[in-house]
Amino acid sequence: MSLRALLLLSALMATVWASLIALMYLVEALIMRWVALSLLRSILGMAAYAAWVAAWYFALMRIARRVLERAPELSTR
Amino acid sequence: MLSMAEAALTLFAAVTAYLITPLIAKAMRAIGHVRPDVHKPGRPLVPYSGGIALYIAVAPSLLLLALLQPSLLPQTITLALVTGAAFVVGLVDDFKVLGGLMKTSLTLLTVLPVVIAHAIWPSQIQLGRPLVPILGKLRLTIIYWLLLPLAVAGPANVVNMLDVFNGVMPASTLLAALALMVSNHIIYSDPQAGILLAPLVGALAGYLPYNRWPARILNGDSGSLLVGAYIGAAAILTRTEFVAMVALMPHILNGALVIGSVGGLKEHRAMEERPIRILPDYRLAASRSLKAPISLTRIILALDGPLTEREVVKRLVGLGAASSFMALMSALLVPG
Repeated sequence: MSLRALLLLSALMATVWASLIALMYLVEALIMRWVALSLLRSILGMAAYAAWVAAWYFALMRIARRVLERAPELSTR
Repeated sequence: MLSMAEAALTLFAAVTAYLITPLIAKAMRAIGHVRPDVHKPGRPLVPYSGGIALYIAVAPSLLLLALLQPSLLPQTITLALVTGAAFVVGLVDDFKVLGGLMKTSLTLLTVLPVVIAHAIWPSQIQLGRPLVPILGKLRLTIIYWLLLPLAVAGPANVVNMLDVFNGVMPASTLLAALALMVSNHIIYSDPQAGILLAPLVGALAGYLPYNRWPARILNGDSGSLLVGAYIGAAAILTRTEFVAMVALMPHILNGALVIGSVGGLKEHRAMEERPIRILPDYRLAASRSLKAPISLTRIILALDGPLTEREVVKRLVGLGAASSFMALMSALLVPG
């Protein structure tokens, strides 16, 4: 049984997971600790999380399209 | 370590689901509430709305939980109301198809019991204090309330979107619910820490034998919305939102891919093209169409080639096992 999909998608999920933990740590260590103004902290924190979501969303869509293009049986080229 | 009360509740829900599901299947067949199992030769008609059996197993288990643990009455009532609301939305959709946007909007409302419970019992239903790895308790004020409507509707809808093959929904969510239950034991020192998850874990374990390949009953939206909403509500009530999100990562990934590729919330019946093709030998292959929605299954089939339904299910459940493992790792990283 080919485990390619399981391994690749598990690795992708692990990367998403690790990057989220790293982002939370960075937000706490940089924004929450060093920005004094509460409103600014909220805005910067939300902007950081929104940027993370957007970056992963576009990366996922690009990875998915690349996988579909490269699948030998499905290649449209 | 599982407490006696947790074990008893899990067993009660499992036995109830195991005994009631064939009766529900028989009743659904008798009233003609059946759907074709499209991935099988001859497209056999299979009883639909297995969520009714899940609800019949979960509801009395929650009542039993209230009797066994009166101190958890606010949490139990909240869980019962959220689960009941999601079940009703799903059941209406099973019998009278709702549009994608309407269904999602209705599931957004299922978070209301949590908000009301927080207003009534603020010390027992705490919101905005999720426990996360490394940092421990976060204090989220604005962002938590902005995201709260999605805390129940999100899990409910992504679980619903991945309910596409026999056994995937109960097997993957059983793993997620188990991971959440064990995570509560890891995070909290209370021996009853995972008791809120016991009814769901038991119900899914008792129900799974009937939905696994070849399914003798299909879940319907009543099943998938109920289960997803339960996980979301339980995560809020135990402040393990992060752990639940990680446990449901394959579902979230699938939801993001589908919504991103079709450009919004659409009921699957309203989609013009399918993400997968059924070959003459009934193996499944990824769609060749550029317009077809991108789903997790389509990616799996593009990577591993045409597969039987059972092979696809094994991979999807394998991804559920991987994300549940990461959820447990997340719980281990939460500082004590």
